[in-house]
Amino acid sequence: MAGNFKEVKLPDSLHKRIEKRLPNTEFKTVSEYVTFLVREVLNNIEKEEDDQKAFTDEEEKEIEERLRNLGYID
Amino acid sequence: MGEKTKMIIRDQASEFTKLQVSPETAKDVKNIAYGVYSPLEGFSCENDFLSILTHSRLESDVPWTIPIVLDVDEKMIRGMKPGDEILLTTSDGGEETIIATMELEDMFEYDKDQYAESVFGTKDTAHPGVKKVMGREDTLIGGPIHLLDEVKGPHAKYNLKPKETRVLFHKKGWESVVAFQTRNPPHLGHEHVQKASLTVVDGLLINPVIGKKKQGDFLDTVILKAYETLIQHYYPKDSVVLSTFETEMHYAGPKEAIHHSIARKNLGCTHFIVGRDHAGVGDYYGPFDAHAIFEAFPDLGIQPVCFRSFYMCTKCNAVVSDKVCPHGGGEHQVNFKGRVVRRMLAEGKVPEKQMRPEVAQKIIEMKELFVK
Repeated sequence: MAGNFKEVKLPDSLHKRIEKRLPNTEFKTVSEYVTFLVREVLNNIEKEEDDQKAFTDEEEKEIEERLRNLGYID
Repeated sequence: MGEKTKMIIRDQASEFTKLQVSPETAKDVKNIAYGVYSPLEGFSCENDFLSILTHSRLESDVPWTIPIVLDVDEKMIRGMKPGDEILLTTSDGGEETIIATMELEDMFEYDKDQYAESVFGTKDTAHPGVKKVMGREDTLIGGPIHLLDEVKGPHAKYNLKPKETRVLFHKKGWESVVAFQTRNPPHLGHEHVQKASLTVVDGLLINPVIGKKKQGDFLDTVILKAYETLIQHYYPKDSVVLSTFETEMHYAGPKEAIHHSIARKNLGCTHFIVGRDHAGVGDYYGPFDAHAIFEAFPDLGIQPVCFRSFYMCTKCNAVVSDKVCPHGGGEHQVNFKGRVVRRMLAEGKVPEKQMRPEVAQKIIEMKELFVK
């Protein structure tokens, strides 16, 4: 469940670097900050993967036909 | 599910437990099946339900703020066990139609106060969303659904599915698309916001909410006719698409702004316009709560375009926002007043400087304007 947590190890230097930035952010802890950043990065990767899931030509033609019939495309 | 399987299920319908759902829940079924509510594949099970209420995320960590639930009279499912299949039916005053199968995965009781507090930020039953939650049955069932038959509403032409909008945007060459959510006919302020957003993206999806609303809201037909007229007279043909989002309004303010964004992301939009008091009702939410909430969701996959107030400035002689006009708050600021526009239209008068005359005229010509 999203309420449970697991530990992840960070290099000491990176942890310090993030900790130093905390006062300039809305995050209270390094964990909160890292969670935010990882979610952002994962979202970008997943979006790229989604974009690559193209329609088959046949499927796209069928949809185009329906859109034409509905007057959405000429 | 293949056509053959669908036929077999329909033939053997009498052997299944049937559950009649409201027309509004039938819309949820469609939205799940067509991917408007992706990644949901069915109604919420308890693990996701609690995760949403506690963290505004599914158990899989994907942002989700309003659980899509199916409540049942406990007697209806007595003796059933996980793995059993149910037929979901609906009837909009006419014949009962089988719309989907549902694999029963979970049955659970829930805390309505927790639901209300989390989604609406209040337990006040004067709030229409809370009132609805408190009136629900005490048991929820969850599990994946498979669509058998689509109940087409009166505006089927405008109800594009995510696959269709994505192909349409691609066909139009739009790489960036901003979605505008509405439950009202457009006044000049709406037009300003839409066009200001459209200036920096390729296309605009005007996406009115079609479905059960509260008494006094504009009828769906009125909203659609008004937008058809506005687009015809004031929008470049290749820059705008009008399509509906069939769902019930929850009036959950900020949580609903996130919910609405997710649906528009699934339709293929890259940006979503969030105005003042988005999906709000009464004084339950601050005017910009629905803007602030986006900061907690860096992984939403769609960019909010947040607008503060916009008004007619008689000095600038234009529709402006407080960000670009120095005359706000003074004698030159004329606000767009929904109540005034509503009253004037009901009286057959054109609200000048508030609404395009062609749009107002089209609305005035209609017999019924409001939900009774």
